[in-house]
Amino acid sequence: MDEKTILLFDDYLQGALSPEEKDRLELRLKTEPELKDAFTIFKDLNGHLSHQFSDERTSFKDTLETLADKHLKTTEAPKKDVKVISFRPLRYLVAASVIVLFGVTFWFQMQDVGYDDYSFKGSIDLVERGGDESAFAKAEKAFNEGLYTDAISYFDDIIGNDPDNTQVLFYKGIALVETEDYVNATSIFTKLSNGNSVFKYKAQWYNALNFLKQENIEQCKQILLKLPPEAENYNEAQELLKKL
Amino acid sequence: MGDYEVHTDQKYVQALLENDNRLIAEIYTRFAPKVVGYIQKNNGNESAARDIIQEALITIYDQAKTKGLTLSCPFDAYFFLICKRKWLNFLKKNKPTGVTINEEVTSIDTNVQQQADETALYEGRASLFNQMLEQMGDACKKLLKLSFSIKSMEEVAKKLTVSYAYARKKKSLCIGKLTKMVQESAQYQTLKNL
Repeated sequence: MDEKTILLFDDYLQGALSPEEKDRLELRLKTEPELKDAFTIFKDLNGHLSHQFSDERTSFKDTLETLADKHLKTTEAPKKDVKVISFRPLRYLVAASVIVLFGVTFWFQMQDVGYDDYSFKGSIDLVERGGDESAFAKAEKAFNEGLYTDAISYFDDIIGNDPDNTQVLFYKGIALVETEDYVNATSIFTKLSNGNSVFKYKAQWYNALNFLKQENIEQCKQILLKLPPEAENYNEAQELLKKL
Repeated sequence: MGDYEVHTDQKYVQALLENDNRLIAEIYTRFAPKVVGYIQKNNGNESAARDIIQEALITIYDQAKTKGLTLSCPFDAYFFLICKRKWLNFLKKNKPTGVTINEEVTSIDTNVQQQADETALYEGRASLFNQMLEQMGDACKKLLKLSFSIKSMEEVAKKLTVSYAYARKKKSLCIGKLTKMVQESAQYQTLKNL
């Protein structure tokens, strides 16, 4: 398939051909099976890739993870070579929320034990099937082993190539909180909450927890107040607000 | 699509498409336990079942989203068959010796089989696309991933510091190259003859 044909296919799919050109191509597709075959793959690839990398698909996968957490057990040893129990960020967030739900009476004690005690015992999952020596694999490993400074530098490698990888940005935010780089953590969480990714509200909620960790209650409250009802942590946020 | 009737369980496919939490939860409560039971009886545990179930649901969703999926049989039977086949494949790959498989002798509706076959075919194609993408040169791979996750080609061009026209043309040529790789792969020939 030569360059001209490829660009012709593309123009056809974009609707950029004149009626005559369109008819001519359609006629060729009817009579040249090889061309038809290539065209079908070309068209399917466009559809496949645009779906594969869509935010919508990511949200769908998040829904499935949440529901599976609720309905299916994962008590068995994880398949990966990670020593920790499988503990996805969602569950991590839930755990963090549970901490802040402890009663008012224990508030000060809670701050003592809270965030640091519960935080990063978990593992993140960045590597799609077949992942290997990539920065993703290294970042995942470093993060899961608690080497947050290393993880941050691998996250930066990934972000350098793909500045809009919201998932990686989100994890970098968590790693920054862990290394007490609160300012940069806030800057990432703010960027994510102003965006439209699936991490929009999680980042906002997390930013509130970031301030909670710094015992900056006022700022924490300000952020919690802005969390909209559709956020998945809305209820926890309301509970936390009451306790603050 | 054939000329069959749409089954009322199409609502579950629709729920996946619409990310409808409530109905998707029903899939987990009503249909997942049977899959878990089957896998537990056949050298697996609930954790393995979870992976299979998640994978199956994502495949069904992907197919419905990109190629359309009209269910002509009960969701339960279709979903179970997909999970069961996935599990048997997994066992074949990972436990080559000494595994006894509890094959239940039940007759499966041809309609269900046909529907599950279509999904398997779809999945084979999709995974071939992904494999070939990974085998591409870095420049094309990066451009394609960026183009399809950012959507706006103006932004992609800016990010790569190339002109808009160049980015667009290059994107098409990369998909063209990928088309050729797919077409020439042995797996594609196999899939084509199924």
